Amino acid sequence: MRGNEAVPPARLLIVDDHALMRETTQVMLEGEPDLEVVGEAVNGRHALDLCRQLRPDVVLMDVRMPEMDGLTATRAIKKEMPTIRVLLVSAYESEDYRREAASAGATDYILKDAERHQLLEAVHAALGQRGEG
Amino acid sequence: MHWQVTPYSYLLLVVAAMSAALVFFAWRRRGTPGAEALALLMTGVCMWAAGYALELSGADLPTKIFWAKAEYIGIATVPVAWLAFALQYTGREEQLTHRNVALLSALPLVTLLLAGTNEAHGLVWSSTGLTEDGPFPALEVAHGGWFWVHLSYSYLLLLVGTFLLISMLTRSPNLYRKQNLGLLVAVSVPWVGNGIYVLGFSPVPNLDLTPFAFLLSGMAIALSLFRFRLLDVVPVARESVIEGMADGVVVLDLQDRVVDMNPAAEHFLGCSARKAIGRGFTDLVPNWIGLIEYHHGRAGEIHKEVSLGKEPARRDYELTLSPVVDRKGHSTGRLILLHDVTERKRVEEEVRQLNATLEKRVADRTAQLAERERQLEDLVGRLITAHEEERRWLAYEVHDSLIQMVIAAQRYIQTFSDTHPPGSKVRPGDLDRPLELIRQTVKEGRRMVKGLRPTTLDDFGLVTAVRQRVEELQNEGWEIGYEETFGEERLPTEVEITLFRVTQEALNNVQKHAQTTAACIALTQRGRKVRLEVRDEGRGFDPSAVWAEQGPVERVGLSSMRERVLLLGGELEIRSKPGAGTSVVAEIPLSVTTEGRGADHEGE
Repeated sequence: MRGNEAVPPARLLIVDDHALMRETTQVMLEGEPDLEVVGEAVNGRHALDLCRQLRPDVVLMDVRMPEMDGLTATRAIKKEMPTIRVLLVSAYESEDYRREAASAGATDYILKDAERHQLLEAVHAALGQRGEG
Repeated sequence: MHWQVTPYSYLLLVVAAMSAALVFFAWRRRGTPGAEALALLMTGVCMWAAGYALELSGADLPTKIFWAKAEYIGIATVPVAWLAFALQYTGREEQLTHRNVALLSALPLVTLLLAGTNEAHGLVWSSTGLTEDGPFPALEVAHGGWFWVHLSYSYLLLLVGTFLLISMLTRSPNLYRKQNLGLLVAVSVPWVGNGIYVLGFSPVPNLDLTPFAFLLSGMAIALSLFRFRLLDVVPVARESVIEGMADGVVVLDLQDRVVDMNPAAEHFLGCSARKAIGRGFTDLVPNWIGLIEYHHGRAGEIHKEVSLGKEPARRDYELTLSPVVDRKGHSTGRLILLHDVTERKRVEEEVRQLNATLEKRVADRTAQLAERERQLEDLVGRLITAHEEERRWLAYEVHDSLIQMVIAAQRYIQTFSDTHPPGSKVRPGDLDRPLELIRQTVKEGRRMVKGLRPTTLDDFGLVTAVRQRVEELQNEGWEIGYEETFGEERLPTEVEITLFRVTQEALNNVQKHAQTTAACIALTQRGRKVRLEVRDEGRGFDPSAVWAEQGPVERVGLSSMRERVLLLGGELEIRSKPGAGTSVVAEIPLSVTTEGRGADHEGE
């Protein structure tokens, strides 16, 4: 699929209340021609709105945020737009969060300090499931 | 001497014998006031009667004259002895000095002398002779001039003695009325007898009735002595003791009629003895019928607490009811003793009330302590919560700023590493951003450490630490005023730390919420209190809503500050209105204990 000119790049939405995290997620995804960041949201509610507007393929979702947290937002998105893949990106290493993430419908649960290639692999893995949901 | 015994002689001898017996009886009790004089009196009576008996029995004139003279020993003695008895019996013993007795006896002695030597002068009897007019040959005399002196003197002494006894009688010594009546009979009967004889009304011609009258006298005194125990209970002592007693004494006869009562009893029962005597006791105090009836069936004493009158004049008494028993053990009445215990009961009641007050105070105090303990537990609980929230806040701070920045730096470097394999070209400034982030991390770390515990506070004190913070903010462009009245003075450590925290937290809130950079800090002393005010002219808020709206992290600061201020006995107040700025005021008292710890700073 990669390098295929006919296939448009996958659309990504970054959700994090910290500007630094949004900034560095962008940096890590730069230079990946098949991935395009189409928007940034600062909380769960904002993310839900942007999902409706932008219909991204994958959402990189922070867990703890004001107004609406990542898990709630994930449930809402998966309920309303089941084809959108959600990757939870958290600073907390916790089995409980992982289980919660899975039950909310998240494709994967990765840590914020994960290696760049781990992030990319998770994104691509999620994209590989596109259309299967 | 020739004798011619008549029945009257026997009678007179009986009088003499009785008088002699009374002498013996009184003499045995001579330690009792009045007893000696009584013995003397009865000796006189005895000699008078005996002499007269012998005079009557004498058959010839010389015999009769001899015994008539001998009689005079008794006749002269009786008035003096009577007065002496009256004086002793009524408590005037001290009048009976040797000198007075000698003076009193002088005239009777002259009478005796003159009687003995009558033949020479005829001053006692001007003429003597035998008369056969009556039932027996009697001595018929015509009295001489001295006889009338002697008679007047004798009557005077008898009169004075009688007066003394009667005056005592009228002072209502009711308990001994019978005794005094006996005495009165004893003295009045000879008066009557003598009067009849002297005035010539004797039913038996030529018979002097006086010694016969003394028979009645002797009997009356004997009755007083034996029946009413004249010499056992001295009326004077009774008067001074019973009358003067603070306790009430009431004597009842077998029919529960009042026989006697003392002034204290009159006062207690509100009834004079004059009115009470003779009346049934239960008529006077109807409430005590049960008590009296209860005692009827019993031989011993009963004790009971009783009260008389209505509040507030009510008095309480300890009543003792005991039987009065004569020498043979026969019950003759009842004695009621009333001991006023009102004052004692009042004191008891006061003590009881005092005790109750004290117990209530202890209970109140205990409740206060329990309340204080509860408050303290509450405070400790809130403090623990505040402490936990502070840790959460710290965790949040570390997570939100330090970790985020380090992760961001790591992501930059990783991305750089991924996109720059060995040998690839590196552009200048490629790593500027991660380096900048690491510098910021260090700075942020320092800021947090400073927030946790600024070293300035320990080393230079509150005034300086606040000033430093103010200067920092001024450097950041704040318009901030600082007013303080302490100068170099240090406050107790815990007060300084707490007030610094309040300042810090209040300024944080201004920074986060007030949307202004204009504030004012005042640190002043008001009496024994330190007062801190942090005021801004920002947008303000509704204090009642803020606790509910804000999340735990925002809330932790001020709530934890409030607990700390409370723990030092102070108060923290937040005044704010939407649009009208906010003022945080903390006041902490400088107690003796906290003040003393001002020296803690030395050597820190």
